[in-house]
Amino acid sequence: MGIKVTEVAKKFGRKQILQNISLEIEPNRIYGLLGRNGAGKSTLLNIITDRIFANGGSVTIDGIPTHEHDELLGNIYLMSEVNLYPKRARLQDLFKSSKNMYGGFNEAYAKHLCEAFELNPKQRFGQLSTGYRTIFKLIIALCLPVDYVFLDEPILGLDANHRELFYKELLDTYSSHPRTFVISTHMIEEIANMIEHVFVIENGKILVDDDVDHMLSQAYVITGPGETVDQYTVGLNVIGTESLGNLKGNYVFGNLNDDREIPDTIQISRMDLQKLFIHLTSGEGGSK
Amino acid sequence: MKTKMIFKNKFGYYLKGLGYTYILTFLFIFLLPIVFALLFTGSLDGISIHNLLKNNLLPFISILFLVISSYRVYGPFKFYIQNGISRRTVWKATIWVTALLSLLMSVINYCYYYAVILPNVGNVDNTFYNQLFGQFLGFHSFWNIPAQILYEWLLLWSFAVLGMFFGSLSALLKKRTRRMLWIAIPIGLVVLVRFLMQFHTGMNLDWTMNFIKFVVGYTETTNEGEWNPFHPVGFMAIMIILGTIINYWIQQHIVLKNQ
Repeated sequence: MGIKVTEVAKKFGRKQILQNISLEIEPNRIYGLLGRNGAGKSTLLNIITDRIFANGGSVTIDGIPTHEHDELLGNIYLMSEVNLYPKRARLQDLFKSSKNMYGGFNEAYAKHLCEAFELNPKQRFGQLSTGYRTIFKLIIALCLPVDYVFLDEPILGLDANHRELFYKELLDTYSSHPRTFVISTHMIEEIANMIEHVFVIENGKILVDDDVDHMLSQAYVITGPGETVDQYTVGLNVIGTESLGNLKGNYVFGNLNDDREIPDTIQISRMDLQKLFIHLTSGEGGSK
Repeated sequence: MKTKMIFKNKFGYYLKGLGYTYILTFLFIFLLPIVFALLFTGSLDGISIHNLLKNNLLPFISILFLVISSYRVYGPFKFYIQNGISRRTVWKATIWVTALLSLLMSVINYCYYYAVILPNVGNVDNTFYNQLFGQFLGFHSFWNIPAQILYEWLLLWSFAVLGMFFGSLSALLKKRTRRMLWIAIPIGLVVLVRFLMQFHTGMNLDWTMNFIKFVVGYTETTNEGEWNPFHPVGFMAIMIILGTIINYWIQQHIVLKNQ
């Protein structure tokens, strides 16, 4: 059960943006949707929320297609990078409209968030800076009674303090009222500790669909003298390399052959999610 | 359920727009002549309330308001899709909104004409409807009242559907394509009219003439106001239904554009 994306393809003109993507989004989990610029993340989110149409494949929630389905679409909120709210509308009126259309809105929490982010709800949407537009959309996203919240670039224009505040509020609201969050961002380091499962899209295909813990348990950095490191990593899935003088670091994704003896001059450490993402999507390295 | 809610949301928004439009129209009718008189003659000698009250801009303004407000399709689409509302629901709610709004405007315009304008023009009832169809049901017949309101209602509604048709089409197009079409369509129309003017003598256009006569309810008579109002009423009703179905089909294809 949950959202099921099956064989979704999308072309813009001659350019194939998504190539038969399939994935499942389960209830009450926090997902990371990662990919380089133009990988197709926003396109995928727009298709899931029926804002644009796929050229093939299907999107269902609990087995029912989302296309033109008010109840299902009303159970998803996509906070997108683009602004779809009327510029002349006041924020408090937009809160009210969202409440009416989604059939609920946590007004007390919205008030608390407005105060915490110092957002005046009497302002008009068009008067807000990029950062405050993001904050406004985040407040709506966190206060609606939906089961699936998609956050596309949720920290666009936010300063470090507001980002911290957002992460804290996200985790607070998630623990008090668990629901699914799918976060698409380039600030991987900042969300790495939050997400449970990750989808990596590369060239319109799903490159990784795995739990973060499981994924990181197979991601290593082998450092040491260049020659020794190369000898040790022969036959392993090396996805990237960095050198500094005679020292070399090979990034390995996959199982190490633990039966072999580890040379004294070699160090094996864990890779973080950002490094893993960079090397997986950089176009160098092995089979991934 | 959601249709009802979107209807309320949209109707409230358009009602506000309608209020502003009428206020602006009255300012235009009453204030502008005064301002112009003061600017160009320096006095209000040529201005009389009696003359100002003779102006009947309301039907024209109603058409303008409905065409412009119905043309706005993409903006509301963005807002409603952001709020998880399907295209079909918005379309359904919009039918009720335009129907009710045009009926409301038709009733307001009717009341304004008979309460304000008619006494000031010396009780000469010369509405467009009466000049063409007034005698058909009997000039003093009670049924002329609902027929006149019905006629204007459907006329206004037709313009709303037409506005929505162009709005829906333009919602499918990119800004650049839209601009090119805005230039190409009038040029194309001028060329077509020129072509018809030049070559219509060689064509058999009798059927067109007969069709138009039928649609407007033309009756061969020497008296004024004896045309049949039910022909245009029926034609407009059919056009509204067809237009609404076509608009549904177009709106089903609207997607969020790359911004």
